[in-house]
Amino acid sequence: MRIPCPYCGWRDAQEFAYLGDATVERPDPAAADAPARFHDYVYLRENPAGPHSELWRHSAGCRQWLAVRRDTTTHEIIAAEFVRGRGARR
Amino acid sequence: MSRLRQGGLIDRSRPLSFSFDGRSLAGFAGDTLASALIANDVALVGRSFKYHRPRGIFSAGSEEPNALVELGAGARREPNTRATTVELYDGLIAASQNRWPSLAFDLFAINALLSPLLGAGFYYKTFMWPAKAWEKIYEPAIRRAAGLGRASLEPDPDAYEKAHAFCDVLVIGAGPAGLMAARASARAGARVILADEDFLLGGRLNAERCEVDGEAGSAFAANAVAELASLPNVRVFSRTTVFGVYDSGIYGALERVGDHLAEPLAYAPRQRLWRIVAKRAVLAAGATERPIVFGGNDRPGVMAAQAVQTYLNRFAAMPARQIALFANNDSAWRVGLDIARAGGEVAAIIDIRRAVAPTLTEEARRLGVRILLGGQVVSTSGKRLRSIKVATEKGVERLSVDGLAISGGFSPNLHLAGHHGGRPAWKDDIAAFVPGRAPPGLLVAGAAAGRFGLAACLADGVEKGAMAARDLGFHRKPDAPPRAEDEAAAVEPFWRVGASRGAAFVDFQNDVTAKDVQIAHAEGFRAVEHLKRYTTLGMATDQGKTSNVTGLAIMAALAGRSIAETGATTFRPPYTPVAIAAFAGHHRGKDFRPTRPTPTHAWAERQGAVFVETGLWLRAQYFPRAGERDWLESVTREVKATRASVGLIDASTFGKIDLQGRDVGAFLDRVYINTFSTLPIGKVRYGIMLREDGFVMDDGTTARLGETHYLMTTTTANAAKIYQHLEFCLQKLWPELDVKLTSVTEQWAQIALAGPNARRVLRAVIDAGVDLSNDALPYMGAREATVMGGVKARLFRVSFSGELGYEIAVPARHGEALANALMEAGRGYDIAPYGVEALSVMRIEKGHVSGPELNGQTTARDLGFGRLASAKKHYIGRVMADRPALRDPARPSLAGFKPVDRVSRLRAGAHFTALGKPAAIEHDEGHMTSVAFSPSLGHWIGLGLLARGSERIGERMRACDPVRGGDVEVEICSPVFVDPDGERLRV
Amino acid sequence: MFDFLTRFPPALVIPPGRYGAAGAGVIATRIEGLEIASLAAAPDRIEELRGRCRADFGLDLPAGPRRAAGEDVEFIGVGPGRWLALGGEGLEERLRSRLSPAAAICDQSDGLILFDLTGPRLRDTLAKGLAIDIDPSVFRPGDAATTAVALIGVTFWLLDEKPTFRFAVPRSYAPAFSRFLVASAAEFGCVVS
Ligand SMILES: [Zn+2]
Repeated sequence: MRIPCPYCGWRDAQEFAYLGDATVERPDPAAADAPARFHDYVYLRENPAGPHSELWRHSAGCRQWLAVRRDTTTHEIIAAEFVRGRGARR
Repeated sequence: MSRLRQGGLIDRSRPLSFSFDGRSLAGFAGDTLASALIANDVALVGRSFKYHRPRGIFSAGSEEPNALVELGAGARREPNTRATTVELYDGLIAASQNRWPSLAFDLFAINALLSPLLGAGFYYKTFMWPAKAWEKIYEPAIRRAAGLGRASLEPDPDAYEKAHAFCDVLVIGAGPAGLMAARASARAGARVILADEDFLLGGRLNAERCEVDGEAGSAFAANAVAELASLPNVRVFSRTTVFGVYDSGIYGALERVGDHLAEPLAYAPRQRLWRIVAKRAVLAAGATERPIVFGGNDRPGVMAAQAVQTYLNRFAAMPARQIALFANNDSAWRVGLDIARAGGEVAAIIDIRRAVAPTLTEEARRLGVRILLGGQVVSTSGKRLRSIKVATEKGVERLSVDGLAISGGFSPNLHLAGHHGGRPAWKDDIAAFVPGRAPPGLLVAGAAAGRFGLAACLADGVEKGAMAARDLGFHRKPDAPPRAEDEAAAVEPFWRVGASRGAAFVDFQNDVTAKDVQIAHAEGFRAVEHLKRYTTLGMATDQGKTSNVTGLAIMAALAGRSIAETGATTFRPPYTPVAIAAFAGHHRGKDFRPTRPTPTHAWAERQGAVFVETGLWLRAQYFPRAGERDWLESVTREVKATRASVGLIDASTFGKIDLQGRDVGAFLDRVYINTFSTLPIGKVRYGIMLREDGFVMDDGTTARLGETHYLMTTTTANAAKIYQHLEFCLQKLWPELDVKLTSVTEQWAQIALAGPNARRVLRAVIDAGVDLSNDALPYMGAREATVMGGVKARLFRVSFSGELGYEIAVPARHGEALANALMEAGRGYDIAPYGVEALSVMRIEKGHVSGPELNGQTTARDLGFGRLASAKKHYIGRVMADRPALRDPARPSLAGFKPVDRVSRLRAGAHFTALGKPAAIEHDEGHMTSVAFSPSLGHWIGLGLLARGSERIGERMRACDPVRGGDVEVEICSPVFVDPDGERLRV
Repeated sequence: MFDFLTRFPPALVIPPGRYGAAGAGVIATRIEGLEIASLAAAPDRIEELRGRCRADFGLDLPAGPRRAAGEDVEFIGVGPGRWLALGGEGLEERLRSRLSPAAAICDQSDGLILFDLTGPRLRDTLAKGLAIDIDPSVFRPGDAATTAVALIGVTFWLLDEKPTFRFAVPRSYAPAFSRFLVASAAEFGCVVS
């Protein structure tokens, strides 16, 4: 598989580290229901058949964390962007 | 000799000698082992896998099911090599395999008599009981009797390598379609790679008598290859099999760089594994001829019709004296005509069809070839074929022949097109599967796409090559395809002679017969994937290239379904076998992975260090001295020397991360359980990091070098992981924080100096004006300085050993000089270099946790760091660490252990149970994580994780180690065995 | 297995000499005397940093994996907001005095080993480890890349069309890099100088 790093260009997946679902957002640890929300954040992941957003880090290249949109049934890479600048919170 | 006097694409000016089963034989450059054997009239080349039936050469290509040989000798002996793809070289040594004592007389041929027992599903049925006998009796017996060749047991002397290539268009196969596709793409300006598994490019153009653009097919191919090779945008790979299609346009290919030589050239690899990244690809891999299933169809002398044609035309080798043909299609007729034109004797052309194109029958009659329409071969006889019986409507007739060319039609080589799961589609008009949904960017051309005529292949190649280039923006009106004729190619589906006698083989290599397919059907294994696994059809090294379609067609007929409904099995890489060594490439032996020496490696070597691999690092394990009997004696001396006076160790392997920015303090507060924003400049603090699930991830010290400048150390093992984690936090979680991370692990050599005399030794290397007094640089202090006359350095007063200690960091090139200077300065104090073993002993004596305790299942509280956690801030892992189960006081927590009988040895991994309780899982209360012989105490000590461990000091337990037979009564104690108040650290 | 791989221990950078087949298909030269520093800037300071570089060094900091070279300093893009700087003596101080605090600057002169690689068979050799396209039509002088070669993280850039590639290899990986390089170049003849 090859991933189009926005900085480095197309690179082999072997250069990247994988962290899974990019759609989960870290909850507010100060929230009243933080334990329940952290449980979901840490353990619950969608595993869709089809397009999915995933976290990949270009470890052997620019070391940026990317949100990669990948079709899990075909391994087609639909898009890749830096997670920084996506307006992540907390 | 069956070599024709003239013709062929062999080089008669270059005779070669080789041996087969010890017999010395001769061939020519341009031969394959198979063609040379045929030219030497060798018909019997091996025994079959299960029944040990005599087998000959069936094909002329990589689909060969029968002619597997052991190639080479000694360390280079390679089993299961297809004689049909081995390029002949001078001195080649080959041997038949799977026979004993000899090929001609094989004792295990008795298996053939046992065939009723060894049929489909025999593994599951015959040897079910008693279960014990399976491992001891049945399996070894089967393995001895059935099987293939023997691998060499010596290390492989050859080199292998991997390489990467990039192109616009990859063309797979250099037959008529492939050559035209490559030419059309290349002429349009695309970067092209053309790969073919053969050493001579041209495919069927070299094997058939044909004309293209008015010249012989082989000449046309040679010219086309020459043109391509001359173009700067084209790379031509012969002897290269594209074996797999992977994601994103990645293709795996194996180049046999040195397999056509007795030994690879000096400093060249034997094989090279290519990873080709292609924007587009054209699959032009041709088609494979199928056998017809009838009794005795595996007898040496029975050969695929196209193979006969190849041996005749390309290698000028006549496979037999009297040859009959048995077919269901027009193609075989041309083979018969070629034989007759070459002066061979064609006993008859037997076609199952009652009507055949007059152009073929007339030409056959003109050449005096006998024609038997509506005929079927019902049996064969002879160890090597001597006769066949043919049934026609006039009755059964015996024909004396020593060769039988058979053709059941053609299967497009669509394997690669199916590597992404696309299912092939059945086409009735050509009685074959054609590619279904191909991998993105892959086009299929020529016979691989089910277009069997020569003119059609050439035209399709031009079209697909131009199309691939055009897709990528290379617009050029393609040239008209070269002039050629489409041969007659009619076919009538026919799979099996129903009324034949004797074992009728579907899969020659795995000895699967028509009867096995019947059994599978009768027993309900009717789906193709079940059929495959129950009968092992198509599961041999040839992956059923000649057998799969026939097998499933027979199953379809039995089940009363169409072939389209029955479907085909899944295609997976590799297309042909690939040696594991090729996947490893350069990375074997000491180069399996990089070896990272520390900056003081050469110094440690001179000190006589024994090294140990820790991750990729090579670190000094201990420094044996003359007269020491074992490692323990050396380690004990190193510990004693350090605790009594002074020792040093290279600590450069710890991860070092430089953090700069106005928010570093706040950031560290969020990733550590304790607070770093309040750390004064010039101080170091120990910290614990959790994973988000609340368990400990890593520990280490972080120093504050300036208002907005910190330096973090991580454990050696977790350096990369922690860096990645911190980047995640900064880029994904808190991008608003101003923190810049830089790994400086490689920049600094860091030497830990420890022991009561550490300050005195350090004073000798530090430059004047640096105050090392306890007040100026107290325990957990940090500062910059210069050493050895102006070398910039960082000093950290930290200690893993529990002694007065300093870590001195200098730019890596000065690491060795610093080690030497410290040794020189410490000579009067009997300074001892120590290795990671002594370091480990000292940390266990001090109760410091390390890898065995930071095992991903322990919380900060488990390890005694509960009070370190700040309650005033949010940090990674805090919420989840607060879960009730993680706060349960009954969780195993860190404690120290001593053997009650002080001479007993402790073992890491031993489990704790109460005294008097059996060593069983229900009584398990925890385990010993780290042990050491403590030179300071004179007996073994251990750290462990024990339920409520910290509350049970003074109790006694059993430490059971059933694996190594250990069962020791231990006393629970504080994990800090030496200097519990830390007084030595602060002097 | 090649003789030199068994002759030299894996922790040693393969010493100067001629290896493999006759000829000089690849020539590897260790470059010494250059100082190296890493620069890292927060996203909101990159423009400021760029302005300072233009004013003080007359160089445009590359926005991608490329090299910008001036008389006494050059910058190689290694990531968003990250560069390697190479120059003569006193580099770190020069950078710090002009670019701090817009960028975090760390001395890496001892952390990275520089090799200049050239020779007629260099691209064929590098193809055995690099999984990126370095064809002259694609990878041009001034282009740079940070990637892995034979499991080793490296940054390299193309200096000229000869071609000369300059590789920056982490110090502790230099032995493994040299073993990969010499083994891969052996069939073409490799000169280590
Ligand atoms: Zn990148």
